[in-house]
Amino acid sequence: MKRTILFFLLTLAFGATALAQSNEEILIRNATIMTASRGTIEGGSILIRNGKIAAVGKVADVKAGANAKIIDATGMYVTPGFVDSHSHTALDGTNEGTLSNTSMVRMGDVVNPIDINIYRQLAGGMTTIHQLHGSANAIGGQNSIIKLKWGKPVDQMKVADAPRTVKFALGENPKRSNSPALPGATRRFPATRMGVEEVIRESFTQGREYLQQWDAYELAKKRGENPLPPRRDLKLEAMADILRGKIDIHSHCYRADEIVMLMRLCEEFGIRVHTLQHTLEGFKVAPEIAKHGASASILPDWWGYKWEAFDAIPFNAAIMTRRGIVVSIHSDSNEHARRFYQEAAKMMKYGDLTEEEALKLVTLNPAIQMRLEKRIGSIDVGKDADLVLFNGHPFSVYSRPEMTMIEGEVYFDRKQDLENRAKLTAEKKALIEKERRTPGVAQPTVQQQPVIPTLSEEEIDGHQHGGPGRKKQR
Amino acid sequence: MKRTSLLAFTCAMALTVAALIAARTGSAQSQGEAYAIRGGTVVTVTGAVIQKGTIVVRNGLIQAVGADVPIPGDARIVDATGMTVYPGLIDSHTAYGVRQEAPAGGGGRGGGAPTGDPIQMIMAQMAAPQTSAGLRPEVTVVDQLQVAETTFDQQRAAGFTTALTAPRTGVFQGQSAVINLGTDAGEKLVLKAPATLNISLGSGRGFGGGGYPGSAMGVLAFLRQSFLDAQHYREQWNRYNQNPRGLQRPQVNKSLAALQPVINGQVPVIINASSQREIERAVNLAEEFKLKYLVSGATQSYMNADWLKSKGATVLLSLSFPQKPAGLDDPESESLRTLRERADAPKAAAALQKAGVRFAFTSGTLARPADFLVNAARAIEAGLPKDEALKAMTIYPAQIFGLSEQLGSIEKGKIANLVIASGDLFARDTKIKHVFVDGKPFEIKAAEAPQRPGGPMAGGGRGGGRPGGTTPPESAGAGLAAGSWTLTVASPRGEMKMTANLQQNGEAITGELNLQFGAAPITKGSIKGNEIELEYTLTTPNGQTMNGTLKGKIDGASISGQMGMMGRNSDFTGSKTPKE
Repeated sequence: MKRTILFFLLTLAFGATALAQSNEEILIRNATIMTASRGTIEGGSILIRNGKIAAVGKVADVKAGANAKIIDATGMYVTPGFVDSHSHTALDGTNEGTLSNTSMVRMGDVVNPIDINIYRQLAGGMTTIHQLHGSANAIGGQNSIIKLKWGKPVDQMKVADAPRTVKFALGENPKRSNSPALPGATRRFPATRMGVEEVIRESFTQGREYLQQWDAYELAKKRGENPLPPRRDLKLEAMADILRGKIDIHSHCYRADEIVMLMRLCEEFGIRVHTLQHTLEGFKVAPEIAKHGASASILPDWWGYKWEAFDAIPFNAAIMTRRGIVVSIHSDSNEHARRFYQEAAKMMKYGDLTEEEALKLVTLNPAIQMRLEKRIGSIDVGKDADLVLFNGHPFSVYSRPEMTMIEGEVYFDRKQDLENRAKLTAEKKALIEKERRTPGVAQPTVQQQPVIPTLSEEEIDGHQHGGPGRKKQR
Repeated sequence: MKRTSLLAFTCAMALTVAALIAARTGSAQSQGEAYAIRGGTVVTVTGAVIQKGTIVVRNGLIQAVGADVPIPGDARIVDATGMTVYPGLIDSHTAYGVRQEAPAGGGGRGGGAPTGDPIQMIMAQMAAPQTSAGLRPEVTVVDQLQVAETTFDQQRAAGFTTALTAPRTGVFQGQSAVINLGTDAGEKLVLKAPATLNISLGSGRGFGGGGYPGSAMGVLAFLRQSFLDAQHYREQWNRYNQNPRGLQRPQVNKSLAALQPVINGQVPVIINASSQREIERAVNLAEEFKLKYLVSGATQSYMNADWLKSKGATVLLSLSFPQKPAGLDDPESESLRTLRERADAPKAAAALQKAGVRFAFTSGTLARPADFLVNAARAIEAGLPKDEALKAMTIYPAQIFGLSEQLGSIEKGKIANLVIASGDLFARDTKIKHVFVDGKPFEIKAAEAPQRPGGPMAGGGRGGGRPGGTTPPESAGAGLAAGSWTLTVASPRGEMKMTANLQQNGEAITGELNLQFGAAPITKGSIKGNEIELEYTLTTPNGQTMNGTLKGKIDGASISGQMGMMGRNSDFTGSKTPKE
């Protein structure tokens, strides 16, 4: 008993120290705060404590402790850190495209924490990304959600309590119509849209059987029997978890007919498509999408790079929003992700979304699609202090982020960056010079496995290096 | 003395078996044959250094070692006066002596393999249905060993007497063996098999070509499923063996059976991992399935040495340091990170040692065994104590592989694997003079300096068993081959383009060919006058390796000749890409 009390006291003591250490306050003072949930606060302050937003309001209403670090944000705009619901950044692979269903692969296994795009996107205010498997197959891998904590190890980047999600894909990519098989190689099934549907139905059916097998096993155990457990199959386990509602479906799609097909197919198995990705023809079936309860993540004004991507309009976001669908804009591109706020700005022009509605497309709405709206996506008390400080209105092409913080920690600071450049240039020069002075030993390497370069998602989907049909709208 | 120049020399190194042995070739296993190495400084590694010590070798074992050891009357004397004797060096991860698998054998493929031109062969392989090549843990290197009299000449000349060896392709690369680098037929050299099961996290199977798994995440999912299946297999058989009556007999599965000693912790896995994040993935995977593991490569382990210590990891550290790419016109074009990684790689050993991580050295992907000691010296310069460096190539690997009763030091009763060097092993001008493998002596002859076309050779007569001897002669063709070449091969299937990035150092050529299927590193290359000869190894998307040759004549900026692969030759022409 004594020992228990001692232990309890120790825990308390240590707990208190830990709390005291991280009880650091930061006050962002006198900014224009675009909350993304409750409008814009002119002349406002944000108080950050322990990496969370502790208070937000007018300057006079937000009081910080004596030791708080003050950031004078006079003349600046503050927005929530941006959230990208469709990214392939910071991964050592995109597609496990060898099979039509690869739900056993996990993107979280191959996070690359030193991808320079992390830093570049931080410089554009991005703070959380949904790292998706590619679209080479009907059922791709399980996705990963990270915060762009540049310099931190992978396990600290991963959002610990993030939901599990899986990538599905419909249309030209999974049927490989734009990616001919290598010379002499046999084509992978499926080669048609019908086949894609069949792959998904078959996989659901297998998942259901697998689920039943395990249920029967658990029942037998409950009866006091000692049955051999069924073989664990990671692919079917993922399918079963999709059917159990433990894994959200995020499906790559373009055409309206396919969107409806997938929703009906899911309904047949008693589940829901959580988020449609790309969704270029979503505006045609907005009522159906709303009724099904899916959300939509879209490319705002980017189309024409392949047949199924022609019938698109820039009013997609506005139309679906007005129909009550939670809409987000995604980058699907390392380049777009660096100026995500401009993508959102366009949606005020097309379809008259309000400023806050447009901002939500890249903050709160993607957070909802990733089931993280209680933690991120808006400037509200209790949420993570993931914030961007702009030198002007974020929807102006003349504005740029000056500072990006995640959970109260600064990961990008433009001033610091400019100061560091000379130091890094000098270091590089010194290293080159040192190598010149001490020539290395020539060592041809042998027996390394040449890695056949895998196609990136952009190449597969034709977004950036697309074929003759590529037309990028601005 | 430039270190770079010395390596060219190593290539030309020739070695012959000692005359005294040559006289006896053909005689049966020389039972009772004894040698006495006397007068040398004996670095025992596990005990004190013995000045003017004597080592008596008999029946392949060390019979006695000490300062005042009587020399048996029948012993042949090796005079090591002024020299230093070390235990034979151990390379803890290689592919030495592994026979190239016949490219034709693909499971489940109908009909015979197409014969004919190499391009067709490669195409056929890419078209082949998914085979289990590289996915079978039951493959053992012992079945693939092919050792001839000269197979390990280069290794012995560099002081190596023992190596862990396994194929280097696929995800499951096979069950390795620790072998002595002698001249006997394969199996006789084996000290321990299986020593480890080797695993690569690389995604060598490629997208769309070779089947699942074709990506980094696919490989991890594949491995995870394999270990889960092995656990299930164990459970199935355990239940059956306990009470077979009334139970259906489980199916025997060779792959899952081969994984049993691995998941039971009897055989460790070697997981190849070079970057910091790959190392973390490797350790995490091993921990997930409670495997005994060794991380091999670990080039960036200087970044997470303390983390590795906290995990209790053991590292087989590669001495194949990252290299500046050939033909780099603008040094500024490389990123700061790349430059940092190159500068920091030699610091890994010191970092591991300081953190207290158990490690041994491997030559990694070094083409020339002699570079091992050159790079070990760089690790010492970067802060690794010299005695730790020596242990990491002798007693540490012996301990790691469970062979410390037989190997790794000069002690009575251990296997007589010995190196007699002209001085300190890590000094640049030291030469390896004799090597004993399983008690059998090999005299390392001084290499003949390569003949200099049109003139007497520079530094002639000095020779040397390893870099440090002499400056290579300035060849008349110096720099002729260096650069980037575009080659067009006339194959029966039509023209095929490839590029070659070549570096020239005296008469030695290094670099790689780039085919549309991937890179083919040059394993051996030379230029004499304007005649160039290359050997290279191509790994197909199916994970099979093929050796090829190139013979050609260079005329200014053009080249022509023949490329050979699998016994067929095709003509090629090419030109040098002008520097910008």
